[in-house]
Amino acid sequence: MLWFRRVNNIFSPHDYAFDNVTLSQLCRLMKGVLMHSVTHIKTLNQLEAGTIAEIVRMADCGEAIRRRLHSLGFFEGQSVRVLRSGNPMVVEVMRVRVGMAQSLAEGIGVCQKAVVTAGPGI
Amino acid sequence: MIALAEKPAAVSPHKDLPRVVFVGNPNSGKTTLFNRLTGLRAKTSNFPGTTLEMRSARLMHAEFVDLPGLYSLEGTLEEEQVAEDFLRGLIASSAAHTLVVLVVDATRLARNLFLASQIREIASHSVVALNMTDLARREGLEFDLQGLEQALGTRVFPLSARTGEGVPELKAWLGVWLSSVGAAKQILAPCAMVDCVGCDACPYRARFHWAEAVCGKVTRRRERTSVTRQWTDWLDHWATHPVAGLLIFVAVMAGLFQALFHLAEIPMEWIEGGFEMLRSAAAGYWPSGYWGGFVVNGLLTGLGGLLVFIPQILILFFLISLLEDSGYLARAAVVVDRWMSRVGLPGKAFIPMLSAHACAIPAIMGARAIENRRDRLVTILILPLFSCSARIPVYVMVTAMLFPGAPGIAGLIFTGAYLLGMGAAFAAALVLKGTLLSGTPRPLLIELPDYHLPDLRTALLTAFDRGVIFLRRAGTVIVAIITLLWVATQFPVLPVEAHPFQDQPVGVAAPIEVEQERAQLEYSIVGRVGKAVQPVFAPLGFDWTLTVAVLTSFAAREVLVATLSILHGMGQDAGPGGLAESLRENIPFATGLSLLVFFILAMQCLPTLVITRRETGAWKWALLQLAYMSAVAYMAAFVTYQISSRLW
Repeated sequence: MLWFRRVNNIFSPHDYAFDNVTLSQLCRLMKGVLMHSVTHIKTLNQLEAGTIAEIVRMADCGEAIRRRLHSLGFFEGQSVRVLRSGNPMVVEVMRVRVGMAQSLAEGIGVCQKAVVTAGPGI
Repeated sequence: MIALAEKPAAVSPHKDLPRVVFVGNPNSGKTTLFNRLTGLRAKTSNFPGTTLEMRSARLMHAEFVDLPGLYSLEGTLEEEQVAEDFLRGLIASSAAHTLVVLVVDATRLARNLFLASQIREIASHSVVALNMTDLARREGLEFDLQGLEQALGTRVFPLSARTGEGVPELKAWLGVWLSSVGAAKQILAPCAMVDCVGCDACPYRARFHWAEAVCGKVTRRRERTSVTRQWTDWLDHWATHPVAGLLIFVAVMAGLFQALFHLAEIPMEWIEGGFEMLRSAAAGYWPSGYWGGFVVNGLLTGLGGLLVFIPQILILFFLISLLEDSGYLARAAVVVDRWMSRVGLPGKAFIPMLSAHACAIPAIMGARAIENRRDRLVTILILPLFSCSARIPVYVMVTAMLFPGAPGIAGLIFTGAYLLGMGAAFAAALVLKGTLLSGTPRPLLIELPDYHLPDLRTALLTAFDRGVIFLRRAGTVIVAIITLLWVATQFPVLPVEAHPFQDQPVGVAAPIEVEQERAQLEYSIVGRVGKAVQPVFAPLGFDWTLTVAVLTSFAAREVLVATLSILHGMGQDAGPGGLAESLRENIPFATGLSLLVFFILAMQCLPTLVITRRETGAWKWALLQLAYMSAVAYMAAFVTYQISSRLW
């Protein structure tokens, strides 16, 4: 029950067994899971310059575009760094810079990992 | 394992020769390496059955082929798919005689190894050219070549195509391979990739993870930061900025234009002068008769009108190649994309649009850089609306006719003419977006390579190649049609008793030859058609002379000035300024404005029509271009004439 442990970590510092959870508590926890997902998954175009994130979801943007994104290194689990936000935005993936229209970035769900305030960036 | 293409895709025209095929990611330096090995021996031809280009050369008793850049073997672009089919077809037809030279960018090893993993699965014979090792050294990268060879199961040659370092070693190895090609010995070890595929649902992820693992194992980084990347960061800070980037773009393009026009001016004068000398010599050799007339006024005029564009084409493609190789053009596409996409055009369309201000022909050829067919078609269809240099003599003549002694107003009219052309082009793109070619342009997704010094050899070879293609493709058809048009202006022949000098009084200003030319033109097929068609152009204020000029200038816009010169008794060499004086007395102000608007918007360029047909692969697009531009020009000129004739 990975989701359950994850919710536990968010809402309570104490570990407690699944057996002890009442229905109302379970509902509350389920709501927490959803809130957690909503607040932590963003789309690539929502990130500021300097943000490093991991791709967690690729929206259905058509076979041709999906394959093109894949062949450039965009797939679930890959890290990307935003070099310039806006439309088009500039991101770095596998040490390669890529200019990308906002409409494409809107279809890429990411989980923010870090924000680099110093060092290389544009 | 990826299955080979079932259909016997395009195969090499020289089936018996061994093939050396260059494959690699875009910006991996593949073409630079190909050019270094083959030089001027390479020629451009189409992939069989398509209008897409490939470069090939005969070298070391083998056929060397340079394929377009590929990110993977499941490409989505038309060019990628054709190249992939071609490669699979070659391998399927004769795997033992096909060697794949995989060009890999050493500074982007992990990303480039993705394609390597796929090539290794379909090719029986391959070798890896680890390119840009000089730049990698500067970035502090070191490679375990033996480890890379083991991981890929093939030979790896570290080299720099730009400096030539390591290229002789690869060439020597190619020579050895080609001399033993008949033995068809399997030289590859099994690819280590096979062990790690299939354990994951996503083959892309598996391949990239393998590529990253190999890269991590064979690469060692001595320094954390590299000067090249710091430079790229700093330059990109400005070059991709929404405001500063746009200003830089305008400055770079203005510089390109200035260089283009200034550098091309002198060679264009040489060509014009050379053809003038040839015409004089031919006129001296054949002082009269049809043969002389055909050579002087038909063939040499047609050839001269075609070759005069060669300097502009060579310089334009040389400069564009330098900008592309430097890495800037990709940034420019990013900067202008947000504006272009609003009218349904891709960011990459700006390059042909700029070229179109010099000449629509190289611009249409340059539209090949746009991958998506819909985007490419829209771009090609609107390109002739931008004011090309061939329209300038017409603008000069009409503005001098309308506003004598007022250079300020003439300058404003000139600027207005350019703006009207641009506005009409963007409006046409919007209309096409909402009608025939509906849809939005393919969203921008473009790799931005690091900035570096461009390779002069590649730029020179690109320019030379484009010039040859222009001559080969445009030359034959254009000269043939210009010759036909000349015939239509010369036949039927004016009877001797109808010659104007028969009853010409002494002291008439116009020379006899000019009067003869005018009478002949009026009597010819073109003259008769002009008079018959004149009612169609009457609502625009055109008389029969202007109608004939519009018809003859369909071959090329500059012909308008020469035709009007003849019809108004000035001779072919009168020039725009002198002709304006004469026209001012015969043509009303409103007609002049109408003529100007018509020529800004009308296609009036046979070579462009031919090139559109060639590049789109169908007459329907060329005819659509002619029809919509003629209709728009007619309507705009009609409105201009009707309004201005009531005002002035």
